[in-house]
Amino acid sequence: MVDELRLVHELGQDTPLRTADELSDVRTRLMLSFTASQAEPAVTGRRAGLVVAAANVPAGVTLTAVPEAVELGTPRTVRPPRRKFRFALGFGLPALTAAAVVAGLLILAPADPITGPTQPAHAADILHRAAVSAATLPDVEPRPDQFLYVKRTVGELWLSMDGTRDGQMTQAGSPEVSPLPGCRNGRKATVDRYDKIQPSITEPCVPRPAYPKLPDTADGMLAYLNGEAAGNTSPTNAAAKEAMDLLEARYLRPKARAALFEALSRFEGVTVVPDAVDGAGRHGIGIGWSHYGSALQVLVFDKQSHEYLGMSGGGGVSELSIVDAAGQRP
Amino acid sequence: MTHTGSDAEVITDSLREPEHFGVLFNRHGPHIHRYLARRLGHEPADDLLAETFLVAFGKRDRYVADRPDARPWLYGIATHLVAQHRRDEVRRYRLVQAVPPAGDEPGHAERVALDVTSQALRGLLLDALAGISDGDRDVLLLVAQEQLSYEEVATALAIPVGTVRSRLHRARQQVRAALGASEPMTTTIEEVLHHGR
Repeated sequence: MVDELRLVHELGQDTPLRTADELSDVRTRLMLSFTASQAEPAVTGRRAGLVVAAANVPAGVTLTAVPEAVELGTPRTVRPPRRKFRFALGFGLPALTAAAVVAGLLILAPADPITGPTQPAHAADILHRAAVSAATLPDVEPRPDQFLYVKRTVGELWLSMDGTRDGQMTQAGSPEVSPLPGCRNGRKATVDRYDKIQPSITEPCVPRPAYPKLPDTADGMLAYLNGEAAGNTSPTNAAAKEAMDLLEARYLRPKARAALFEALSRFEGVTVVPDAVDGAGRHGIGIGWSHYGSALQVLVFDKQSHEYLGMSGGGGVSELSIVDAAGQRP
Repeated sequence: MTHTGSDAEVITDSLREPEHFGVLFNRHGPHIHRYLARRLGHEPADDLLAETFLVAFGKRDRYVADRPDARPWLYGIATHLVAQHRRDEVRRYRLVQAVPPAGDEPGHAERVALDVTSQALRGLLLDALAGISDGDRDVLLLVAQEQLSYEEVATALAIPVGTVRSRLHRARQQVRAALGASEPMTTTIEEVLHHGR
């Protein structure tokens, strides 16, 4: 006599149970969503600083003025050098998989996504202008031993530039500091369910540098994104997720950043959202895509300058800077 | 973030301090993830796991506080999300079935026979799962794979326990009928399933 319940049960054993640690990326993003729901809405129009301190400046000293920020700028129309640059960081943590990157955004859709036909030419145009805008950011190369400091309404992050050092994160309103173990010699310490690091229990890993070595040409970046997207059912979705990770939780030098926007323009299915809102409540023009029947996900750009602002459902206005140690504030 | 209270207490605390909700994720995230991966595959599972907990978070003020264990509640939300992807689920069962056995190296004759049997049986099972009605499949999988009790399934799906029983009965009959065609191979079923891919 066959026990069909048993058979169905056995069939399910093919699917492994992930550990809580393996799902920590999803968890981290969720935590930010949970706490963001109570965070005060950021004041629209406030120019929160993306402060990029020069690498040879002692960390902690915030370089508020970046001299001649437009030095590698593409020839373009009037745009005074800015003293500060900003991103709105969304769920910015290094993710183990591209698929995890947007987790948590699915139901935090923009209020009024476009539902009409796609406008590929227009989307490409906006991304091209975004690339031009990105190319004018100050070009600073961080040292491998430094950290990317990310501040936003929902907390702070310190991410190892080369991925080998232990970073950390805090959540707004909580004194607790959660470790983000670095990956050294292919192993990293695990974190238990109480957010305590367990040095004696390690697991295999690949370093996730906050400053990844990436192509700085559109063709190179396109090849990179296609590589990341290989095997996925939707190349556009996979590439866009990877792009979101790069924009929200990594430091890219201006040329690579520009290349990223150019490369994105070559994917099918990206659409224009005329009035999109980023995680900080700022309105701008959006570039969106959808996947798997989920809500449209959107990168938001300033309508005039086409500067990248943030993404829909993100964690709010943030400051980004380079510091020497985890826990150090600029 | 630690919390030693019941799920219900965690949820209550999370109303004032949202970060407590992360405790629920630590406790149940892996199982909900596996449930979603079993039904829809690994690729969408991460996204839908996050969505499950975001939906739960948004509804936490309506959680019935006399249910200390939140698992049925979370499974219910996850099942609701699966329902939005019914066609993908059925397609997945057919797809998995269509995947040929990995590795074609000539081996021991017995081993080869085992693989063939395994594949055939898996095919029948998957076919049966694809063929039964959605409500019946929800109950069957929650009971057989997720190991929920009848009462928990009733809570998860917001249906009476009697309905759980009748749905399960129907689902079992259909699976049994699907396998009945292959009665001779069922003698090795256990071994097959343990060795099969």
